[in-house]
Amino acid sequence: MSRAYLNMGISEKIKDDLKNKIQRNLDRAYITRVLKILGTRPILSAYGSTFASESDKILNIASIKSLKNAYSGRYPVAYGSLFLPYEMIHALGLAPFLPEVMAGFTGGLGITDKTLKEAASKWYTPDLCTFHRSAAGAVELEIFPKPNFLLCANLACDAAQKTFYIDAVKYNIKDNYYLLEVPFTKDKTGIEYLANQIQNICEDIAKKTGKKLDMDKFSKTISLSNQFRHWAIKLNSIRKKLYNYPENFNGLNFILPFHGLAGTEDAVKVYRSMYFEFKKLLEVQDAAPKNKSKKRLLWLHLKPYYKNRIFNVLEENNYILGFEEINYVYWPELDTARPFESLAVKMLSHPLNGSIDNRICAIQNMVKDYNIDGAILFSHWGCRHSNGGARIIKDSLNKSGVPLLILDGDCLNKNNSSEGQMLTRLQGFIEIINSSYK
Amino acid sequence: MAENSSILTFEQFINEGTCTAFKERTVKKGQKIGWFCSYTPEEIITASGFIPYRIAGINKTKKAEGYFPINFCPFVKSMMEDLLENTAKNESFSGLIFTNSCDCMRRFYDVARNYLSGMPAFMLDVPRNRSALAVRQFINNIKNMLSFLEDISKKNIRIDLLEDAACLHNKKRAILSEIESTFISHIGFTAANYFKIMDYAMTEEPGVFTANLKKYLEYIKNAGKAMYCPRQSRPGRHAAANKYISKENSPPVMIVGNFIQENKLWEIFDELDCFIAYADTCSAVRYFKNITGLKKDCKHLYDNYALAETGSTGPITEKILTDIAIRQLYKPQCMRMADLSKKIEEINKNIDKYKIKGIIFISQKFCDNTLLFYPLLRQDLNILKIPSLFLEIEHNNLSAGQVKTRIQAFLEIL
Ligand code: SF4
Ligand code: SF4
Repeated sequence: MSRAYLNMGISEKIKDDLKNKIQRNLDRAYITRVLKILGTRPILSAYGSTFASESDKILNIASIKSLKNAYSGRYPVAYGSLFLPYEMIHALGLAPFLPEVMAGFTGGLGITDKTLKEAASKWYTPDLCTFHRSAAGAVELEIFPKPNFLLCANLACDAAQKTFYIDAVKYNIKDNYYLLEVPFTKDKTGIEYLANQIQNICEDIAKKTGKKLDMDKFSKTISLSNQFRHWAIKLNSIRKKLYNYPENFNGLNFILPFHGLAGTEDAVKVYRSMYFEFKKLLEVQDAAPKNKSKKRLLWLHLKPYYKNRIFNVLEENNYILGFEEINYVYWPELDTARPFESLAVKMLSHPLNGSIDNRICAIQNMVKDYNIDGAILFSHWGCRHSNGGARIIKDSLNKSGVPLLILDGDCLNKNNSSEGQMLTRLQGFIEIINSSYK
Repeated sequence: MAENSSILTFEQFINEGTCTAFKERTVKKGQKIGWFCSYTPEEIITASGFIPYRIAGINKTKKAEGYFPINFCPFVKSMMEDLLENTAKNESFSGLIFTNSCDCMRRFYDVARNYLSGMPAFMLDVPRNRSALAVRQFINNIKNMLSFLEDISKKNIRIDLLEDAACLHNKKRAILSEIESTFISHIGFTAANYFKIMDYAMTEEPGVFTANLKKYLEYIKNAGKAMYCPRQSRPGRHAAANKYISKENSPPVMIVGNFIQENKLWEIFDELDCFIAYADTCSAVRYFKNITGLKKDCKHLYDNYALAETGSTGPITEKILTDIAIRQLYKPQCMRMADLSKKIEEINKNIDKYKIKGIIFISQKFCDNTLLFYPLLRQDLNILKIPSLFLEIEHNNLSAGQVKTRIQAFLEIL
């Protein structure tokens, strides 16, 4: 038995153990205690050593550190929706907490049955996206840390702006709720409108936390964000050629560092070390360039966060995820001297903002850059924004000779997805791609 | 219950020939601009020489199903069906004005552009915040809409045209408000009739419509005098023989919902003698309310912007556009807007004003903006001890029997 395998077993065991304990003690105080213990240096490094690969290790450590801060009570907590420019939250000295991403964790922790049930009892109907329903349930159950501020954007979907508002009412902090309105088009007036909003919100929060807006800190945060961007681009360029990933690597797990940690040392560390880890693998691959028979898929939208066999089936069939839509670096380098405007440009550059043309254009670039053989759009139940464009994406990819599988399922609620059906469709899709190569 | 036989419905009234005839209710090439959401400033369309026509999803969804996923707004699907149907009949619109209302509408815009070849489409970005910044941004966006329409019509939208159009639409809104108060005060005025009027209001040439509605209002007030029975004063049973007297005794309910324009549904309300005292939907009050008192309420915004900016369009246009932008953003708000407490406040005020005893919350299935408002509304109503009924419906696909039973059961507990 290899050491890596042994470590992986230990890490899985620790995780399962933690999972069971949290399932039994589903409350904020217990989670805070667990994170406090887990977050101490020796335990954290011992925990880190149980991971099979560097990328898995640093991802887990960075996530725990970020969570620990949010639960610690030492910093004002800001709930943030996914595509917010988190640089502003870090520059303001707030601890970010991402309810949608944490809803993904509720899937991994196996507690979505409870959170969804709680949401249903509070009149969230089952037709709504489970990320938001589960997060709403977790807020109601007081599993998530108490927020001091809630910041959301209407980028991509409509849901966060509503659930966050309800959370603000629950905690009686309606005045600390902010909706960043991202204009539909990226033009001069749109940039100005968004930049003004970001600045106003930052000034307001600074005032409420009894501080002055620290422009030096903004500039440092923006510079860190640029460094993270630099390493993320370098890492992605390696992935254009790489066929063998580190053990346990799944690019769909990196939402927190890519968004929530943008503007921190941790994000720089995650992406820099991953770059070097992947670079080594590429060197090995280049030295023995045999294993290029693997097919490369592009994954669109998110994945199921509960245990499932989708990725095993892909691996068994010699398929890898050549790239994931969520890891696309879509924004230009930020200007440290103009933080608000830069962050506005970053948001407005997101391919999910505006018309579907932006998303299609980004997808077509990824198809070309990452040498893609086929694409899978995971059609998460209740996601109007992504699924609503599925037909257009399919037609557009078909025109370029890339088949697309629209895989219906639910990222969090395993009871709302039939794994058997998903796997059958996946097998069928694999056969189609394979046959086109004969 | 059918309309009182002695009072004509609006539809009967216009068909009697006393009114200027409406043009054929089809879409002729080069005549109409299609729009979808009540945040669309129709006056800009009128000023550009087109007739604003609200596409209301009158067709059952068939072909449109193939363009969207299953769990997607049924109203959007039905509107797409209308567009496909029009295109098939070669009765296309001159252009379409979409709004950035919700995820489904954004994807609808994409689908329309991709699959209705050559149809000019514009996305009007409507802010969700209410602030001076948002008003300014909205004015910019309306200016872009103006340029889009100028391009299609190949004409300049002159200031006098814009002024006339704004005035015309405000007149239309004023008379619709009068109709609304008649609707709630008049025994013989059914929900089906009220919403049919809204149908016409959103699709007919505004000048002709307004003139006709004015005549109808006079007719109602005069010809129906014997039946006229303001509820607020709770008169004696002067129309004792009138079968609508039961409506007089039914507890006032409020409808809160999104785009609910289902004849069958309104007929159910009438059959059950349900007294709708206020309909907070985007085909009712959210469509026409808000023309008076606006300037006082939003004075700070006017101070900031009126005549202050001299963009390429000049100060007078700027003033008119400011009026329009403020009216739209500060009208009774839709659930898509950011500050949901304002919506709750509005509803609470109307509960008091109209002495509401119960709320029927109706949402199109899969409408996130509306469905995600209900948890908050429900909390509020629990505090106020106002019972509510939650109805999810599928546009153009109403299970009438089931809905009727649920409304009936709800009315019984009031
Ligand atoms: S899955 Fe879709 S609807 Fe759900 S949070 Fe993400 S973008 Fe929004
Ligand atoms: S009913 Fe809701 S989902 Fe449908 S178009 Fe209107 S706001 Fe959008």
